[in-house]
Amino acid sequence: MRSLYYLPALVLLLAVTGCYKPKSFPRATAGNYIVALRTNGPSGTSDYLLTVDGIDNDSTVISAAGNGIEQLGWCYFSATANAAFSFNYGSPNIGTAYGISGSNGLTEKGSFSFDRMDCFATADASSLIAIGAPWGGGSYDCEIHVVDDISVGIVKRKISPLYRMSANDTLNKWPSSIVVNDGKMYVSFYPLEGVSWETAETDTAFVSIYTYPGLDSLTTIKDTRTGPIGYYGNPVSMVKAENGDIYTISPNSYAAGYTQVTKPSGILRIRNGQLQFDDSYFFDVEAATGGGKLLSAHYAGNGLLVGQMVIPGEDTQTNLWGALTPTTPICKLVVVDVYNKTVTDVSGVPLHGGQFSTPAFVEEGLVYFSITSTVAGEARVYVVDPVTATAKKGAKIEGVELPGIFKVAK
Amino acid sequence: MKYLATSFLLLISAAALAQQQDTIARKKALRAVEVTGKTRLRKAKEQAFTITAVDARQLHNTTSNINQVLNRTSGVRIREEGGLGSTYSFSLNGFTGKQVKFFLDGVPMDNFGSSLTLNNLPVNMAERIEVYKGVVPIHLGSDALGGAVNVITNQHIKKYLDVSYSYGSFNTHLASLNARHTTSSGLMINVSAFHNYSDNSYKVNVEIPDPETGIFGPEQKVRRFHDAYRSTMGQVELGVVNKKYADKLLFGLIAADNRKELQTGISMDQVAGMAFNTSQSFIPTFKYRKENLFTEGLTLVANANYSFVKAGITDTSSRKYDWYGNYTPKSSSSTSGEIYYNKTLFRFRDRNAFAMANLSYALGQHAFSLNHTYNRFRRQGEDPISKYPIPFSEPNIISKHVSGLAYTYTAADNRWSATVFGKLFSQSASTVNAEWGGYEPLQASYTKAGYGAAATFHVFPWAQLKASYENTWRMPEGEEMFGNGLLLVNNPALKPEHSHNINAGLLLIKTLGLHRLEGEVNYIYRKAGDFIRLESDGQISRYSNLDSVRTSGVEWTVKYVYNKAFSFELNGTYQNTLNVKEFDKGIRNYTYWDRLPNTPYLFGNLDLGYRFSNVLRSGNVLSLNAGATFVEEFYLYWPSQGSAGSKFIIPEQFTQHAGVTYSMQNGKYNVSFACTNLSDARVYDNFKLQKPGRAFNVKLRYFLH
Repeated sequence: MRSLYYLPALVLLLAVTGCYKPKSFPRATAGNYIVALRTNGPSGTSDYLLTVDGIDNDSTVISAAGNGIEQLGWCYFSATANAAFSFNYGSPNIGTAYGISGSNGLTEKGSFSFDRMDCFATADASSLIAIGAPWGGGSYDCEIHVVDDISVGIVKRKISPLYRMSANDTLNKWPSSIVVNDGKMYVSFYPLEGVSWETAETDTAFVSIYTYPGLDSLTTIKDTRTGPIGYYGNPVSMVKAENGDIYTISPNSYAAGYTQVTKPSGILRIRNGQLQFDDSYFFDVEAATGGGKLLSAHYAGNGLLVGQMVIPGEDTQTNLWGALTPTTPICKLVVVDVYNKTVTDVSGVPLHGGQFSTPAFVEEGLVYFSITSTVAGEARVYVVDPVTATAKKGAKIEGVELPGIFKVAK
Repeated sequence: MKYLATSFLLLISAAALAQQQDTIARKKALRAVEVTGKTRLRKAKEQAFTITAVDARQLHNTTSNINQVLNRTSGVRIREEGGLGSTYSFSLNGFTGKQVKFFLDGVPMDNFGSSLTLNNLPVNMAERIEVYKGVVPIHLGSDALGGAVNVITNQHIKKYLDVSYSYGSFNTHLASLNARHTTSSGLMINVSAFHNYSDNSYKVNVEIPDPETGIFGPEQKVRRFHDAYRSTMGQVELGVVNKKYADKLLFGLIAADNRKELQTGISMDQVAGMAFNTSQSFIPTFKYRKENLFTEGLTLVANANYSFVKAGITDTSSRKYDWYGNYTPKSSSSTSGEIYYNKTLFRFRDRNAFAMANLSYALGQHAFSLNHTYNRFRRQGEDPISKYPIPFSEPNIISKHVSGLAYTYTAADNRWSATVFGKLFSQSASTVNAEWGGYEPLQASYTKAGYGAAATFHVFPWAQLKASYENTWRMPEGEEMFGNGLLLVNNPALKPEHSHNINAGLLLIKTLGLHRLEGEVNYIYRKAGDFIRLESDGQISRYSNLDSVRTSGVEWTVKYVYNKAFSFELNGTYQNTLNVKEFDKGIRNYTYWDRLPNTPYLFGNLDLGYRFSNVLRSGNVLSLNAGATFVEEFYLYWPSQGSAGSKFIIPEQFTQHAGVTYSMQNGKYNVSFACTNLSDARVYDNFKLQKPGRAFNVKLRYFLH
């Protein structure tokens, strides 16, 4: 009887044997760089996690052709020292951790379910902090999660509105960046109208501070020399220097999704371990660059940041959300010297679009950026030397962008 | 391809050999019988168009709905998300969703509401079902990109009563009534009704996450607990037949409603326990037909209706359910619903006016026809609990005209015929863009011309060649341009989608004594651009002109009947849809020439039947039937990307069904018993949306005519 069942299957397979030619694929490498690759997909994009030996060579090709661990839909990516995480969006919302084990390349360490996670940071060697924000109006509570790479699950949860301006406050506080330092967790956020995403309050920079790992609320600090820090999409909006000082980036930019801009784009400082902004420090980046808007940056050492900037003149209502659009080429890379308050354009990088999370990877003083440029007609890794403010071509990206670049222990 | 070609060559040569042995005289006699005795089904099949015509009467003792019947034909794949009444996607030769149009007796069903879709209509409503592949005749006046399905009800019996009731697994009740009475003075009344209900409480395999850590537990079987579906329809038509001014003139009224509980979001990982959708339709109808109007050979057909459809989405719960049916109040996101970001009580009110007229003139071997259809669709929405501006708060309106002109020549000996036709599509739409709270009035209008041709040639009386081509357009529909007011946002920049459709086929029908053989093979080719597809950005999605695709494929059917008792039918479909878009918004598309993902491409069906006549009593028939369906596994994402072991797949489906029917007094009383998914296989049409396992049902039917 069983053989009768398979009769139609067999007939069908025979009928089409001549039509089907499976493609052959190159073997995957098992280096210890883990990159997330976003390619054009059937409903927008598809994400893959893959290992590569290196990303600095312009003859290297990062491709998902027969290679990479497929992700279920659009993801955010983050990493601890031992694992890279994908946080899948859509339904289901699943977080998955991957490690590198010897010659097998990427191996899944486990996965877990979550409600919302919108903003991520590495907390310590084995833990991540992920904050879920309320989407839509009327609900103001965020949920702070601690995720570890050992249990690969949520080990601690805390509900917090991040900040209420008053009892009648109806604005969501969207978390934009997280830094853990000196037993504290610093969370920057920007206020917005839940459903319309209008930014009604753009006159003040805010950071809420919690104990870490206790997650007890300490205070919310404010500064009116610039506007809110960061924007939607998990950009790096706060960086920590060698001495523990935190530098914060306020984009004050339409491209970052702000519907009004009332303050210049600039950088504030929180001294190591302090519960206040440093009154003596403000860098008006917009004035220093003739109208440039600093979106996000990565710390390269010795007071040097390499960041993405909307070029002067392009930060218009037309380019609303351009900071998250790879195909709108309005960005350049800059080196920001926060000690000497100077900004230098990085040479050798074409005009490019923005992207979620603005991933870059810092190693031995060099910063590796994923750059998608419709001007250059390609997506590619660029290796930036912050000291000389020059870049050279790195690996070619066969896809839209790299939403994550990590290096984890084998 | 080689195997296919060889097997068909063998088939043809065997048949040809048999043919030689016939005497010329016998040939003529046979032909005469065939021509005069051709059924409406056979006539439909022999059109120059590539068509699958299903004889629904043979299935009237089964519990199938129209979708289930079509899902067993070549080229058609219906992907269901769950059990009775679940959301489905109809695909025909690689075209899906609104690219395929549905008609009930030639009247488009697009705007009839969700209680009058093919998964609601019981097979007893239909006499036959015609599936036009790629090339659509002008009398189905519509902007179908990939084909059309026309459900034809019984038009030829003067009086009948067909009433049935079935009960099956998962507390499924299906009842249907179809009746007609015609008086000697030419007064006609038609009554149709159905009622469908199911708890859909079948078991699914899930991994349940720990509520604290989120870590997934072991896989277990749980019963669906919030998935009930109910749909009800009643239709009355009153009018006259065979009058001087009309062969048929009918005024009717359709009333229908449904309620569908939502058990999951887009996959089984998102569980809901409160949300539901509803829809009500109320449709006055008008039908007119007159042959030999003014002069012999001139026929006028006119149809009109006005539909009032109200549809609602109710998602107001702050509960977070698990698969055990337990819930906790949501800790954060307390303003979001179970499925949607914001709690919603969204209500659409749609009004659709439809009118069509078809004038045809037959003069000897020449036939001309002219067709015009007009549609005016208006959607208005409201959401009493939304604190924000919503789309459709201002009415959105689409007006559409489709005109068609066709000429057909039929050779005197009926050996060959050819049709050429042209169509003109025009649409204008107005909407208000309310995305992110703004208000921006928008207008869009399109005019596109399409054309095509179809030809057929009888090489032998039993062998027919067919070829057809259409250059066609599909205008964006309301939901595609305007969204649904929730996660589906509007895209006023949407353009019509376009396709070149080519078919070539061979049809064989041969009777040899007690043996009857039928065979059909079709080659299909589609080249389509600006495909309107759903594009997702996080949770938000919109319809965009995303893809350009090329589909080529082969579908075939073999049927054998012995002595009108034993029947065997096997069909298969292979369709390869390739992405032919090289660049996507200025960035190279690395999936160029890759097979389109999340699309079934290889599937087939087997059906076997045996009838025992005069069982127990003269005129009583016992029939046994069994069958199987096979769908090859396919990838959720691009086949060429990702390492083989890590890719998400929609697994292979192989299901069997069997049934037995006992008909008494020449089909007046019928009892049937059936089992679907015999081996209780885990089947999925969509990623992580499990369909029902083994199910039983019994059906009682009374048919008087």
